[in-house]
Amino acid sequence: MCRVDAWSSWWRHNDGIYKYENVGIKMKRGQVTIFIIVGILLVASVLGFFFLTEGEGGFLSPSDLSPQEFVKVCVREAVEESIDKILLNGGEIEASKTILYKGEEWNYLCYINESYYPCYNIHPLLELQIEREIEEDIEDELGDCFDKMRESFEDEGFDVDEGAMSYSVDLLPGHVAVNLKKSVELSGETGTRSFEDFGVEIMSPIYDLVRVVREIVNGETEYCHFNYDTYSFVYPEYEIQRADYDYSKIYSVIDRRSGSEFKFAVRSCAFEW
Amino acid sequence: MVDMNKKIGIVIGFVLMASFVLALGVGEGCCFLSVNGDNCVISDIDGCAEGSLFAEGVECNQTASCERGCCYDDSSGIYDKNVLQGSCSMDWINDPYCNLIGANLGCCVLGDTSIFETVGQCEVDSLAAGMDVDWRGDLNLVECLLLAGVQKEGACVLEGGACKFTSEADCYSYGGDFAEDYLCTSFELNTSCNMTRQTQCVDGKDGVYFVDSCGNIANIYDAGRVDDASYWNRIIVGTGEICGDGDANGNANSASCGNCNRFDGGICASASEDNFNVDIGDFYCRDTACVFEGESYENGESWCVYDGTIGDGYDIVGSRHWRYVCSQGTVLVEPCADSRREICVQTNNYEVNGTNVSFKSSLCIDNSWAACLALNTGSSGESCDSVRDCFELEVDVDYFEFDVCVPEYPPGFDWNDTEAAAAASTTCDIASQDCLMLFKKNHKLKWECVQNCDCAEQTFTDQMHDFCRSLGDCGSYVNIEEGWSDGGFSVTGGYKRSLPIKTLSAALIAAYKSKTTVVEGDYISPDNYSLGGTGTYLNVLQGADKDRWEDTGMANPDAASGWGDYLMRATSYSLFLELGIGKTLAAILDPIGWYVFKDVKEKYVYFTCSPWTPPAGGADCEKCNGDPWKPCSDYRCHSLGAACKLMNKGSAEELCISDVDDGRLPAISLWADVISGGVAHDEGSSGFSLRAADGGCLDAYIPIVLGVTTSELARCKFDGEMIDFENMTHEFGSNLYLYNHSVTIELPDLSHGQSQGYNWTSDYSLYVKCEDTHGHESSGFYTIDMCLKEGEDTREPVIRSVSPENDGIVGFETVSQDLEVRTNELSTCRWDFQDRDYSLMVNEMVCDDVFGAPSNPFGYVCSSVLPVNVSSTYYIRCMDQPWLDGLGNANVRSYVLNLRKPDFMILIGKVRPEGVIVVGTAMTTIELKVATSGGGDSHTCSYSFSGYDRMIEMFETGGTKHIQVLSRPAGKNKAYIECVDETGDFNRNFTEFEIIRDSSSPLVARVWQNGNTLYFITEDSEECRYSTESCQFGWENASSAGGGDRHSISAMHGQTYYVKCMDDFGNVPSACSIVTNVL
Repeated sequence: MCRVDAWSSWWRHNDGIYKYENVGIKMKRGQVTIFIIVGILLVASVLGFFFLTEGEGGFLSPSDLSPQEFVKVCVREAVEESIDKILLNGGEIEASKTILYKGEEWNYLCYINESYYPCYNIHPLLELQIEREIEEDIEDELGDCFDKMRESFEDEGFDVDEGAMSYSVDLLPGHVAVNLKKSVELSGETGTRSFEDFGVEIMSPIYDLVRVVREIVNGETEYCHFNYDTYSFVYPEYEIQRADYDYSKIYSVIDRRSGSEFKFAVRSCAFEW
Repeated sequence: MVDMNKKIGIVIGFVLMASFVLALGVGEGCCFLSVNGDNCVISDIDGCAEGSLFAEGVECNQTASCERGCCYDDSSGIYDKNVLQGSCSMDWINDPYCNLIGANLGCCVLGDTSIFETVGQCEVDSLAAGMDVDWRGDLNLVECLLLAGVQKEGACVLEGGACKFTSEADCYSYGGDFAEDYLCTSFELNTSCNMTRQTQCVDGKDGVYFVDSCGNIANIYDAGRVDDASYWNRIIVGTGEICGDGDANGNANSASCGNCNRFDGGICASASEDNFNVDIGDFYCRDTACVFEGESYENGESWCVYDGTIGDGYDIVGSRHWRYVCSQGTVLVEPCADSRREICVQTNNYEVNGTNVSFKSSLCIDNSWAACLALNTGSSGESCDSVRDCFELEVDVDYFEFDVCVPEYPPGFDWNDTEAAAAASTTCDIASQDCLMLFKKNHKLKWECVQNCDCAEQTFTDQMHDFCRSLGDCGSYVNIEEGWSDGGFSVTGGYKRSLPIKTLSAALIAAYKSKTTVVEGDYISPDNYSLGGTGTYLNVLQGADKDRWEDTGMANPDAASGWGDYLMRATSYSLFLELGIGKTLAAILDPIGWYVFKDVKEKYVYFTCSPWTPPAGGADCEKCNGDPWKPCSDYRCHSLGAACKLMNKGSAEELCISDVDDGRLPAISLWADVISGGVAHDEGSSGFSLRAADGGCLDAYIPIVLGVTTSELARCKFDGEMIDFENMTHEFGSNLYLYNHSVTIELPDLSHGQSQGYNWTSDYSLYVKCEDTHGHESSGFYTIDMCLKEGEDTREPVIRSVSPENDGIVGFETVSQDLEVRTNELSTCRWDFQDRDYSLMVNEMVCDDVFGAPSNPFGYVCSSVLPVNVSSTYYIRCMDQPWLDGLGNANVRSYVLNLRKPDFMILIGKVRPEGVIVVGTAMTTIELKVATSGGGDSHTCSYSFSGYDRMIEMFETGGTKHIQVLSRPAGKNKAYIECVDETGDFNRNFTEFEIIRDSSSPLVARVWQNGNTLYFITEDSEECRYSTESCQFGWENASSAGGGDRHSISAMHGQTYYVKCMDDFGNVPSACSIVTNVL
C-alpha cells in the first residue's frame, strides 16, 4: 500500500503542486494484484489479531474492518487497466477505426475518407466518451470486487448484505474519480456495520492528455495541421510526436511527468492519387 | 505540342477527382456510418452499418446528420470543431469553427499556476483544485503564462504550526495566516516544517526547487545554500540573488544549481532517469539543446533534412523531405508526407522587437505541384511565378518553343497502385510531345530539313527529357541510392538522315546523377516564393508562337476540348502515328515518305514521356532498412529496385527486401477478357491471331484493344519487327510492372495508303516481349497476327467529336465561335445553316491535317469560324479521301450542332455580409454569400481578401447561389468576388465589412446609496454579481446584483462590496467593476 500512496503523492495535490519524488514506481497491473493479495493478508492478519486478542470470546468486531479499502484497491486496478487500454486505443476500450503502424492499431479521432478535405472529429466530447467507456468496461469487475470482498468476509464468519450498486466515472485534472455507491452491511456476533461510499480516485493524467489531444484534433480539422513543437515548447510537460504514414498522421502525446502516452491518428487533407 | 493543355487537364482532373459528385443509383442514399467505418457516404442499405442512419435517395449534403458544426458542452467548456451533427451527443450548432462566446480562451488562475483555457474548463479545474473560479478573459496566452510568475505567494500558517506554501487567496480559503514571500521553513514563523536536502520539479516552472519536510516548495535549488537558514527564510527573487542567474545555457547540466531556464537551454528533470550526478537531491537542469550531426540546436528548434538536391525539379526518385525537431534534448524525426506530397520549409531567423534572432524553425507543408500544372490550362489567369513551388521551364528548339509551368519539387509516384500508376502515366504523358519537321527538296532534288531540324538533335532529346523529368518521377533519373534507370522515355520518328537522338547526353546524365548529393545549407525558404513573372506556356502558345506556326504554313498544334475519352484514345493516337505508319510499315513507306504535298514533306519526331522505372532486380533493397533518421516506406523501398518490396507493412518490423529471384522467365499468354475490336484465334504459347467477328480481316479506324498477361510481374513492349526488348520503343500499355497488360491501337485503311502509291499489304504482326522485375526477358517473341480488310473504301467518315459540344452555350458578347470537327480518317468538312447534301453546303472548313498525322487525339481536325448572333443550329458533313478531289465518301446525315447564347451576361447580385458585425469572440464565423444571374448554366464563383490575383473557389458554387463559410479575425475585410460561367464570361464585385470584437467589460456609470441599498448603473451590462471578500471570486458562486443597466444590493453598514459586471458577450473584468464601502 505504501508504494501506491507514494506514487499517488507524485501527482497534483490540492495545492496545485506536482510531486516528483518516487518517479518510476508507477503501479503496474501485476503490482496491483500483489497489493490485493497483500490487502487480503492484511485483512486476515487484522482479523487474526483481533481474533486472538479481543473480546471474551476472542471474536472480531466488524466495526474495525475496512471493506472500502478492499474494494478500492480492486476498483483501482480495474480502472487503471481501462485507462491503459484507452490511452493505447486513442480514447476507446476497443479501437473502432484504425491504421496499422509499427505493429499497433492507431485509432482515428479525426477522419475523412476523401482526399484534400479536412477531417471530421469522429469522437467529439472525448472526455465524456471515455467516461462512458470506462464505466462500461469496469462494470463486471466492480461486481467481482464486491463478490471477492463478500467472500473474504464470509470466510471469516461475517454475514454480508449488499444493496444495489450505482457508480459513475469522472475524468478530472490529474485523476479519475470513481463515484461508487453500494449499501454493504457486515454482521457478526458483536454487531453490525454499514458501508455506503466506495468511491476512489485514481491518479492519471488522462484528462490533461485529452485536452492536448483536443487541441491537436481541432487544429487538424480546421487547418489540416497542428504546430505541435510550439505547443510542446509552451507546455514542456508534454512531448508530442507525429509521423506521416500512409496518408495519415500518427500522433503520440506523452505526459513527461508520468510517461503516460495517448496514441491516436488523424486522416486530414490527405493528398491521395 | 498540341495536347499539352488537354493532358494537363487530365492530370488536374485526377487531382480534383475528390470533387466528383456521383449521381445516386437505385437503392442508394446517404449512409451516416458505413460498414467500413466511414461517415456520410453514398451506399446502399447493405453498405451501411447496422443501426446507422440511412436516407435512401438523399445526398449526404442534404442530410442533417451529415452537416458539419460545433459539438460542445458548455458546462465543461469543451468545444469540438467540425463535428457531424449525427456524431454529437450533446449540444450542436452549425458553426464548424466553434466561434462561440463560451469557446473564448482566457486565463484560469489556479493558485500559483495559470492555464489558458475556456471558462468552462476553468470551472472544472477550479472545482477539482478546490478553488474559486478565477478566469480572466482579457488576458492572452503570454500574459497568462507570465501571470503564473507574479502571483503573490507565501507561507500559509495553519493551526498547530502546520504550514502550506501557497497563494494569498488559497490561504484565506484554508483559513490560515498568510505571510507573503515567506517560506514555511522561515525561522520567523516557527512552523513545524523543516529544511531538507530534497528537491523537486514544479509544474509550470522551469527550475529545480528545494522542498521542505512538509512537502512545500522553497527556493531554487542551490547546493551551496542547502544548510543556509537564511536561504530557507523568504522567497528570493531578483537578479544576482539566485545561483546561476543569467547563465547563457539556463544552467543546463549544472550539478549544484537548479536555476533552469527553458528558453536558454535548461529545464528541470530527474537526474536518476538521465544518469546525471547531481550534488543534492534527484533533480537537475536537463540540457534541452540537441546536437545533430555535429551541429547544435536549441530546444524547440526544427530544421529540414533532404535526401539530395532539391528544387528546380531535381528532387530524386524515392526522396522525401524530413523535418527534425529538438525537443528537450532529444531529436525527433518527423517525416513529411511521403512521395513528396509535402515539402519541408525552413526559416533561420526571426525578428523580435527589431532584433534579428537566430532560431531555426521548419514546417512540412503541402506540395502544390498540381497547382503548377493547372496554371498551364490558362483558366486561372495567374502567372507561374505567383504560385509557390512553381517555375517556368523553357523548351527552345528552333520553332519548337514553349514555356511550361512545372513544379519546383516534382511529386513521387506510387507505382504499385493501379489507379495511382495510371495517374502517374497521365502526368508524365504531358511531356509526350511531337515536333513537326519540315523538309523541302533542294537543288539536287534531295529532301533537306528546313524547319525544326534540331528536333533530331541532342538538344531536343535533352530539353524534352528535362521537361519530362520535371513533372514527377518520369523519364530517366537517379534514385536515393544512386541507382540509375534508363527507361521512362523514348524518341522516335524523324526521317532519313534526320533521325532523332534516342539517348540522353553524357553531360545531362552526369548532371542528373550529381543530384543525389545534398547541397550543404540548402533549404526551402518561405522567402523563395516570389511573386510576379511573365506569361505561361499557354499565353505564349496562343500568342506570338502561334503566329510562328502559322508562318511556317503548318498546322497550328492547338488543343481541343473534352478529355473524357482521351484516356482510351491516347494510346491509340500515338500508336497510330508511330506504329501504323512510322514503324510497322516503315519499310514499305520509306523512302517515298508518308504524304507529299507539293514539294514539302512533313515528318514528326515523337518524344514519349513515361513514369520512371526502378532498376531491375533488388540488390539495393536492404539499403532502405535500419536508418532510424530516415525510416523506409513503400515509396522509398520500391524506388530502389523493381524487385523490392516492403514487408510487414504496418508492423514494427517493416523491411524492404527483394523478391526471391526464381530465375524463371516471364511467360506471356492471351488476356482474352480485354480483347475488343476483334476476336482472338489460334491461341498458343507463342501468340494468337486477331480477326474480325466474322473471321475475316479487321476494319480500319476501329479501336482495337490487345491484351496479354504475364506469369509474373513484368513490363512488356512490342514492335513490328523482331528486335531486342531494349530497343523496342512501344510500351504494351505502360512501362509498369504488372500482370495484365493492354494497349489500344487503331489501324489505317489500306486503300488509303495504296491510293497514295504505297504498297501496303493486309497481313502484319506485332511482336511482344516482357521483362520481369529481376531483368529476365521472356523467351522468343509472342506474336500477334492481324490482317486488315482490303478493297475500296466505301465507308463514310465518322465525326468523332465537335468542339464546342452540341447544345453548348457561348459567351454573351460572342459574335463568332471557333469550330473544330474531328474525324476518324482524313477528310474535308463543310457546315451550313441548312441540312443539305455535302456538295451543296456552302461553308468549307479548313482541314490542314496530313495523312497519317491527326493533330488531335480524337482524330483528324477540320476547323472553321461560326457566326453567332443568336442561338443557332449548324449542320456539318465531311467527305473522306480528299485526294480523290471530291469523289470520296461523304456523310449522308449531318451532325447537328446547336449553340445557345445567354439572355444577358453573368451578373453578380447581392454579396453578403456587409457593414459592421459586432461579436464577442476572437474569431467570427461568417457566411460569404454571393448571388448570380444571367450568363451560362454553370456559374463558378471565387473569392479573395487580397485582390483578384489569388482567387479561391467557393465551397458551394456551381449554380446561382454561392456560399463560403469562413472564420475571420476582427478587423476590416474586403472580399473580392469573381464569378465566371462556362463560356468564360465573368463578372467581379466585392463586399466590405468590419468585424468588431467587443472585449471591453461593462463600465459602472454611477453609484449611490439609499438607506441600506446600494444602487449602481452600468453601461451595456447583462448582469452584475458581487462578493464581500475580494475581487477574485468565482462568477457562479457570487451573489447577483440583478440584470440590465440598473442594479442594487441590500447592503450592510461598513461592509465592502466587490462587484463585477458581465456584458452580452461574456466580458467580465479580471479585477472588479467597482469596489465600494457602504457607509
